Amino acid sequence: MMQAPVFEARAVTKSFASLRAVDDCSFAVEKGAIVGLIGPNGAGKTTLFDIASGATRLDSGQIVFRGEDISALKPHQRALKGLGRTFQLTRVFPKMTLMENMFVASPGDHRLHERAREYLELVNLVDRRHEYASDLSYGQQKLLELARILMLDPELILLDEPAAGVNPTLLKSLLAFIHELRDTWGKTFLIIEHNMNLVMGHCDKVVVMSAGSVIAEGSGEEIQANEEVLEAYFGKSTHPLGRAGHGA
Amino acid sequence: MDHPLQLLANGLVVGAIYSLVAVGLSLVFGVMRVINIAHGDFAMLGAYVAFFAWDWLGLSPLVSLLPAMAILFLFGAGLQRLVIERVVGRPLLASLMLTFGLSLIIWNSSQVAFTTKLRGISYLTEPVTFLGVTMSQSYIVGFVLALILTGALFAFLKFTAPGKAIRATSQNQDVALACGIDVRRARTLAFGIGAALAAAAGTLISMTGFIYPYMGFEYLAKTFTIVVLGGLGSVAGALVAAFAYGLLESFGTAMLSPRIAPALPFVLLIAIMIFRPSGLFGTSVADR
Amino acid sequence: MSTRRERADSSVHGGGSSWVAWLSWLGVAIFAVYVAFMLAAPWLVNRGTLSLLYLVLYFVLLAASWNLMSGFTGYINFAHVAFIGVGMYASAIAIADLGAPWFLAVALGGCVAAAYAAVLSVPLLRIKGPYFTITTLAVAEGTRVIMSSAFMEPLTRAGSGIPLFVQIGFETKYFAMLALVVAVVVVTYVLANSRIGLRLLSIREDERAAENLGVNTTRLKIGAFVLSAFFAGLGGGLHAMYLSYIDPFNAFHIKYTVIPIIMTFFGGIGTVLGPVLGGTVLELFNDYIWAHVLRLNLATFGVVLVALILFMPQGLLEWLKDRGFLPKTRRI
Ligand SMILES: Nc1ncnc2c1ncn2[C@@H]1O[C@H](COP(=O)(O)OP(=O)(O)OP(=O)(O)O)[C@@H](O)[C@H]1O
Ligand SMILES: [Mg+2]
Repeated sequence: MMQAPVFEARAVTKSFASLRAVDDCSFAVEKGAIVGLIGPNGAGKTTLFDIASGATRLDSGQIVFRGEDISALKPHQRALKGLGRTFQLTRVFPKMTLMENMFVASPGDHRLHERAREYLELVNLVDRRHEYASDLSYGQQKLLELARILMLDPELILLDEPAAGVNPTLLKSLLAFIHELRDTWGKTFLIIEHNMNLVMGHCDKVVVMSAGSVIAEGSGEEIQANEEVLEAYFGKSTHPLGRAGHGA
Repeated sequence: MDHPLQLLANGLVVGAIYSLVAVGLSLVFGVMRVINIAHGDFAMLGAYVAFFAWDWLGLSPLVSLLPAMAILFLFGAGLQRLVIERVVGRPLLASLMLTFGLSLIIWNSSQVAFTTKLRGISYLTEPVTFLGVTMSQSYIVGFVLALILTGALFAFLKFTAPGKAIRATSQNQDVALACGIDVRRARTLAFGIGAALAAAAGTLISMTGFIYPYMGFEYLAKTFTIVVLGGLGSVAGALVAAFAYGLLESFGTAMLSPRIAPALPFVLLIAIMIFRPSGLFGTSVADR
Repeated sequence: MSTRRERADSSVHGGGSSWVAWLSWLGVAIFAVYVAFMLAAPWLVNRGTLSLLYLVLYFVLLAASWNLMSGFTGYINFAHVAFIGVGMYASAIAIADLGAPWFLAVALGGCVAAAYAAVLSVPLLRIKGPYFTITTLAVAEGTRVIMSSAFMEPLTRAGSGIPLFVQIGFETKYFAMLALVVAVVVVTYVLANSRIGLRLLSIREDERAAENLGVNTTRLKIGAFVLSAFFAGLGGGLHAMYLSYIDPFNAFHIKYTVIPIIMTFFGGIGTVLGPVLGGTVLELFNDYIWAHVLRLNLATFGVVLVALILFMPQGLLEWLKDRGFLPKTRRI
């Protein structure tokens, strides 16, 4: 599907002291796509999410969302424009009930309770809606974060390692859920993930980052065949995508 | 207005004394992420130890310096072990409120025990004049002692095993733990040392100025400003900032009306927090 | 929030069964009894006891107004006394110099404190966590120094203070204070059960996550800060008439920040009735220790604070909720 990009990183650069965490990083995410963002630990993926969502200021470059440069906007403004994200380490509101967690995220009052319950149902948490979020397991907290972000009705959802800590059965329904959101509601996803089977099996496009820069971009097969990606992961030895054997 | 050289000298002397308080506060923060509101009260207690040693036993503050430090070391280490250790790792506000409670206890009890009367030790009061700068001997002795003690702290941290353990804990507690360092002991030691240095400052204050129970709070306000200026958790930053602050205070007091000058640390602190929350020198380790 | 049923569903924790929903009215009932007693007190107790009850109400007001900002957002504000004191001064100056009627003076106290908070909030609320707390401590001390300085002398008479002769009876002040307490508790209750209240709480829970969910945290924090200062200023403005003499040392004494904070911690920070409970119990306790250990009352509060942080950091109400003695609802 060739659509106008809904999200673009344009020459984004960010340094922490002497470390260039993100270095002249550019790529685009097309509308309605599920895009995987992969790369070794410390490649700068989470930092890029932080920049996109406004938690971190970029040094130079642009974040373009639906054709508009949003680099100067505050995090809450970006969220209200339809850019939602989850965190690598979950950030639920621990001493608030699940329903209350959901309510915080909604900008309006329209069908508040129905929607909150509906999304909690999708992630199998509706029976626990009156419990504190701190009572959930780590994997369940990840699911709550995903359900919560839907209250914003975002156009683009950035997921930071959604599969980490989620059991295989639940992961399957989670992935089905992501596809459903995309297919029926036209949502776009950018997903950071280390689970290669997941990335190869579910992403329309894969972007590979290493040492802050995009080193490759393309379909799963193209990435699997790419020498540079192989090097970035393991030096010269085996290809990571050939040996991924865990998870979904 | 006084001669600029005189102001410079005064600023350096008070800066040296502030550095003793500030370095300890920063050290404690670095090692256990606790902002100790009672830190100024340690200086106050040290000052009273020196005062009573002088008043009752006739001991010179130079003699009572070491016992005062030892007493406050034990007091601080004991307090850390029994009470403060329990909030290490809890949110910063827990330790803030806890040490605030301790400060209220120490301060209010001292008011009752020592009364609010201003006191001081007249010792080595003859003035010395050098290059147009006049200063009592006690100031000069205080300055030298403060420098020696700060130097000793740096040497301790750099060259001894327990000092290295403290530095390692300050940098990364998990790594320190993995390397087999007894981080709990490092914390107790750091807290005791911080209290002892504050007590030394108090002793020096008792012979260069006035002491009273509320002084702890006033020194705390100044010390906060200094520590924040130097970057929370940075011991070297605190040292540099203490001298900068001493000079600023010395010149500021001379140039501003004496009724406005007391607002200086507060105005400065607010300004730093707004414009450079991570401190002017060095970067803060506490970005939360 | 659409219907009443839905609202109960949103605020009741632990299964939404009807008795829990019903119990959530317990808080309202308790407070109604409390107010009824305070209303009847002038006919029930002697003048000395009524004075004590007045002080109880004053501290409940200070604690509850502090809780509006710090309890909800988790930003522990040590500058509360600055707003109390500024309110006192505004009201005292309005009466002594402008001859304003007492209720206008009180209102002015609230408005000036709110305006002061609004001005301060712009730089202050960019500062996070414990740094915010330290800075507010500096704001409070700085305000005291400046109010007692020569600069402000024409307005504040600096260190010499302002004497006040107000022609209203003690009982008027008492009922006015009770009205302020009811107002602040009602505001807290409404807030606690509203979406805005939830958003404020989300700041306390995780500010960054809240921002990424579209919550304008800065605006909310400023709003809560100004509201909190407004009630503190009203309280200070009214209490000025009780004191009949205002000077910087007493108007800006740090204990008027500390004691309400400890009271709120004791009852339960971020709850509706925590400040009422804490303020009442600890002020009565304070009165008792004044009679016995007089000069050590701050140290006694220190002991209470240390014990709370070590053994009951959530406060009494949350402790009771955790053990099932009270329903887990934001209505109490
Ligand atoms: N706030 C910060 N201050 C200093 N350095 C940082 C900060 N945040 C990230 N970094 C550094 O930037 C680099 C990129 O980190 P980032 O978290 O973006 O990596 P990542 O690709 O998400 O890795 P992982 O797969 O392990 O999550 C790392 O070297 C990290 O240590
Ligand atoms: Mg990451």
